[in-house]
Amino acid sequence: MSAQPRAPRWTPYLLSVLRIGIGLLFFQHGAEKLWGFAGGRIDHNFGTLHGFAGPLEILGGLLMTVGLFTRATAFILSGEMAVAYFSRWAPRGFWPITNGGEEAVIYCFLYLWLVTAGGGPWSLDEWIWRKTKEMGEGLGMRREPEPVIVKNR
Amino acid sequence: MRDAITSWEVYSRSVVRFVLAFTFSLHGYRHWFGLFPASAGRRAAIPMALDGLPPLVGGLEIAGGLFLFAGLLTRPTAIALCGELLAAYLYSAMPRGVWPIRNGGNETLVYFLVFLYFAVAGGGSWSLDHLLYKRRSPPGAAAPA
Repeated sequence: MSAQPRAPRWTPYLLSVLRIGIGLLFFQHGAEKLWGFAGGRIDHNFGTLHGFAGPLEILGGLLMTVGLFTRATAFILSGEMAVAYFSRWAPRGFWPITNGGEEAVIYCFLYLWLVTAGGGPWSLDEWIWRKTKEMGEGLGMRREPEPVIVKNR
Repeated sequence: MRDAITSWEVYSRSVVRFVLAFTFSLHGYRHWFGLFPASAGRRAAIPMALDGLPPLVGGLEIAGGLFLFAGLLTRPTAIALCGELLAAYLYSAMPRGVWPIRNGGNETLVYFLVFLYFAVAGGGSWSLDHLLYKRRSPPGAAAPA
């Protein structure tokens, strides 16, 4: 048995499950700021960083949950979380566990990872990718097959 | 371009692993040694679900965090930590309410999801697991990440 066995074939589906879970959890924060979800503090000062984060988190959480523009969304949210950490939590102490910014740190790096990982097979991105590929093929926009280099002929 | 970015996934997954293992192990030091007492940082004063577990699990968190940081035996470690996180959520967050944002189980759920992925996919390219695998497998063999 090797130290690093191959990942099973359904691993990408787990990535989609993770993405949906993260999106829903993240959505809560926006819903809290915009609508006072679960008794949270409402902040409609959209000019401030904290207020602006509300709509950003609503939209970002939704897009993340359905998996639309996953990579671009993840990139923006990663930046948002970095700003949130340094503007809001970092001044309160060095360690993420005590300054309250642990979740922001986690999300920041998680989204950076999702930029590279994408949304997985259960995402609108993937669905659109497949559809447009079919459409392109229907319109005769099929790519030329790769040239086959025959060796040892 | 999509493929080019996706080819970095094995490295960025390792970076996530480093960061999460580190922040996670801090809970272990809090549990066992009483370091990092809760301060004014968390004004909302909803204690994290992880901290509601008995201090005994601190050892699991410290050891698990170190193993996960090094990327050694990533999968079994991640499974063990998943079990702990699930217990933490059910034991200390669930009774406080339905919504994770109010019951303090937010971080716990995020950790759980990510560690579950590590348990299946492995720790990425920058891990001792991968290093050992490369050393053991014959040269030229495609090394999965």
